[in-house]
Formats: sequence, C-alpha cells, structure tokens
Amino acid sequence: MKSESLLERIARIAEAGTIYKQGRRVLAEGNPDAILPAMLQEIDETILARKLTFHNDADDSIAVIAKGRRLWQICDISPKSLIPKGADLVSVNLSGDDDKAMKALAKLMQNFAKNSKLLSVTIADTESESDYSAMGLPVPMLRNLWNIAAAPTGSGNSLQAFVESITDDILASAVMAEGDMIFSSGSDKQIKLLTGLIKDQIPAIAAEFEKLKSEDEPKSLIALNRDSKYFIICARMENMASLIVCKPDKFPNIVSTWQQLI
Amino acid sequence: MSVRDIWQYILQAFLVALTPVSEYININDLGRTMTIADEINELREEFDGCALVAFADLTAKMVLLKSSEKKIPQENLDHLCAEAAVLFKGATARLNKDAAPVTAIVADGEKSNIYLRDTADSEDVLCCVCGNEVDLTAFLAAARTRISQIASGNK
Repeated sequence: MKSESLLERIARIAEAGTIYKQGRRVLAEGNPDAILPAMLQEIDETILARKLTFHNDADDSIAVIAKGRRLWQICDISPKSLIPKGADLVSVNLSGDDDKAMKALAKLMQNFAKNSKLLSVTIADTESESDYSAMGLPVPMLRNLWNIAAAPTGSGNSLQAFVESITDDILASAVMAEGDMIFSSGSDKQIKLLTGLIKDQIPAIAAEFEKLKSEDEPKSLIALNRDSKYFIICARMENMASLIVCKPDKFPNIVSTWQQLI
Repeated sequence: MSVRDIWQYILQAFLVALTPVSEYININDLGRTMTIADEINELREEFDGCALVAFADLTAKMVLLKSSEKKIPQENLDHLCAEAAVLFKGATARLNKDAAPVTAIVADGEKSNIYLRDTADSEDVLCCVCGNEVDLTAFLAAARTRISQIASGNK
C-alpha cells in the first residue's frame, strides 16, 4: 500500500471543493486582489485560539495568532525583509490604538500579497499560556485599515456587514431576515429581547413608514434614546431588519457609518 | 396648492393666534428676552449644514415656527410632523420599552431628520434637518438645551 502522510490523508478526506497544495489548505488562487480578503476571512472564521500560518506562492509566510475572530499577534514572518523598516510587529500584542504599528501592519500585508497569486494556510493549536491581555484587532477594523471592501454578498448581508463593522461600538445587536436571525451580539437575554422586538414591532414600523411615503426603498436608520443611558437603533434594508443597542456617545459614529454605507 | 393645504394654513394661523404671546417668549441667562423664534434661529445658525429647525405641535401635527436657509415646501414640513408623530407615538416608540423616547433620528445617505422634545409627555417638538457634515454629538447637545429653554419658558 502506498504510504500516505497525515496531511495527504486529511486532504483526501476533506470536504469537496477544498483544495490542498503541499499539505496546506488553499484559500485563494489566481487573483492577487483576493489574497488579503481571503486572509481576513480565515481570521474571521477563527473562534478558538489558533496559530494560522499563511503562505504565498513565493513561499513567504506570516504566522499569526487569531482568536475570537480577531488578530492578536504576529508570531513569525519569513523572510524578514517583508517587515517594514523600524517596525516592531513580531510577538507583540497588536493594538488598534497604535497608529504606527497599524500602518506597519498594513504595509507588511501589502508586501506579502504583492504579486501573489496563491494563498494557503496551515493551522495549529497555540499555547494556552499566551498573553491575551490586549484586545486584538477585529476583522472589520482590519478591512478598514487595509482598504478592503467587505465581501460582496448582496444587500441583505450588507446590513449584517454594517452591524459587524460597528460591533465595537455597540452593547447588543440582532439582524433578522424574514424571521430568521442571521447575526447577533450581546448576552442571551439582550438578544432575546431584540429578536422579540424585531418580530413584534418591525412590521408595524415598516407599515407606518410606508404610509409616510418617506422612502422608495427601506434604507433608513432610526435611532431613539432608550433612556439617558442607551440608544436603540433600528436599521432596515429591503427584507432585513436589525436592532442595535448602544451608549449615546457611540451613536453619532454609528449614524456616520450607516450614511457611508448607503 | 390644494384645498387641504389652504385649510391647514388657516388652521395653523388660528392655532398660533390662540397661543398666548407669553408662550413664545423666554428669558435667556443674560436676561435678554428670547423668543422661540430666536432659539430656533440661533440653533440653526450655530451649525453649518443645518438646513431647517422647526418648532411643531405633535397633536396638531403642525409646524408653528420655522427657521430655514431656503424656503421649505409645506409638504416637507407636513412630512416632518408626521414622521415625528410616528417616531414618538407610533410603533417605533414601542421599541423603547422602558420609557417613551425624547430624541429620535431618521438617517438616510444624505441627511438626518432629528426630533427632540423636552419630556416624554410633551407635545412640543423640535424638528431639525441636518446634512451629514453636522457633528451630531454637538448638535444634539445644543438642541437639547434649546428645547429645554423653550419648555421652561412655557411653564
């Protein structure tokens, strides 16, 4: 019997459509513009702490620690020439407040993706004692810093993308499409309250605004102060509706994000 | 102009005439007499990009006073009043389970319609239309102060 490595075996039994090359799972192939979005997509799908090592077709590699759909650390970069001069990015907790580091990170990723036509990844468990005292970088923030548009997934998911992009500014959220919840954040109690409100009130709100003839297409965002501590925001887009709870000081930024989106 | 519009003008003039002059006059911190018209004018002039500030009655769904850069068609004012009523008294208000709302905003890609009332049971409402360039935090704080001044003058 032909001998078979563990990676080859995984590749053989992997779900249809998944491509492995050199034992690495291929995330993007053929289009240099698809490299960074695919990398972010992989980080976005990583919930538990994992070490992701990304490779391009020049066999450059960047190893990162991702957890909770965030990028926490760069563990290793090969070759070192990819690192922008003077930047200290390896083995430090990444913070969105450090502008210099964020610019260096964006430059590093541009260097890695430049002229690449293949992105593949290997995934390993990471040491549990890793220091995660920082907050990490959420994928929407990275998309913004790296000038990468959210995946074009239709207007319904644009509403989801909007809510995901403001996750750091909100206390709780729920996005529903025709009775099905497609995204939520916050505690179980908060999500239950918001989904209940969407089911109970959104049809009536839609009817009232339709009566006003204020919109040919429902792309409005309505915000009300819940009390002095909270704003409740209702955003609608075609057959999707979302409710968001935020603190008053975060609300202007959310409106601004919405206005840019539509 | 439709017959309905004419009747609305007549009703509006009638309501304004019935309102005691004292209800339109406040005294500011410097002791200067501030009318509601002064308050809404100053609020609009304070913010570049604020196209309209109107003082309306929720029950009558009618704009009583307005300050605007350009002439605003009556149907736009009617629309603002109707939207305010929906937000503060309709299904939208029921999103606010704990307390009736006192601030409401409807934002589209170009502008924000901003509505404020002093307390949850007040029928007086400021209706404002602001472009995207207006600093919402600063505007809300200023507008909140103005509606409080107006309300305190009415008490």
